[in-house]
Amino acid sequence: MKIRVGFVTNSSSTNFLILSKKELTAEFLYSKLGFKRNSIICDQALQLCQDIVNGTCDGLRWYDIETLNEERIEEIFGKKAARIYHDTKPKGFYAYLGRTGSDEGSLTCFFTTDSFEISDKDFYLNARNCVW
Amino acid sequence: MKTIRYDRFIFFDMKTVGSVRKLIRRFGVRYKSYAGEVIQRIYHFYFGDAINLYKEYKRFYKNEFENVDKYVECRLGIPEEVRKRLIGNRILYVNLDEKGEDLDNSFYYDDELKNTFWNLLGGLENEDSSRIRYEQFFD
Repeated sequence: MKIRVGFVTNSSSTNFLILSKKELTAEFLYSKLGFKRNSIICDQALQLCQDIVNGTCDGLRWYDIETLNEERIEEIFGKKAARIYHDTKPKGFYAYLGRTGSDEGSLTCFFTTDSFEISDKDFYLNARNCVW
Repeated sequence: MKTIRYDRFIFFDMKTVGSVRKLIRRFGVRYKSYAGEVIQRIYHFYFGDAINLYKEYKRFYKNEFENVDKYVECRLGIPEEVRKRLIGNRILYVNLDEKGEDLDNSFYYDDELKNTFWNLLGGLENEDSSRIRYEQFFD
């Protein structure tokens, strides 16, 4: 797993892209983000995962996307994300777009102000589109 | 010794705080993961590139100030009630103003998360730094 950490942005919303081999659930995200079952912050972590899952229903902030394609992904999340989308689409990966806000749970707030990327063989998360 | 925060200074004892790996283990997250990465960043923000007070004094300031206490008072502007708790020659300090990334604001947004973090590190004493102190100019 590769994690690219950017910087803390103070943004009020973060648009994210998730490409996943498995269907997205809060439990799956919980493990993908690196939390263990016995984590002392498991409640906040589960809340963060649930907020991310719920965020996929809200769509992106400031962008209207009718059909998801490489060009739009490149425009919003960059070339690398578009390339990964291109590579994973034929393999049947699920693609999710969504946003989180800084007025949600505590970890969600941190997640929103953070700018980062997680790249694994069966999972990709790009949260680098931080917006106001 | 509990970690002491005064203004943008963090004073701590490495023995109490422990290593980043220990902290990650206590949090119950995987080291090589996003959660582990975040904890490492927060840990290094507060404790990374720390300076040993005593060694710094001895190496660079012993001709200028008669003892460590005087040095901490005059150079760092730390008041007496904080200074008297900085006992021993293993005290490390970090000036958060010298850190590139300001994690402080986003991390301090939530009290519960903040308290969990500091409790796992042996506790934090926040010293009120809102008053202007003149005592250093009296001598």
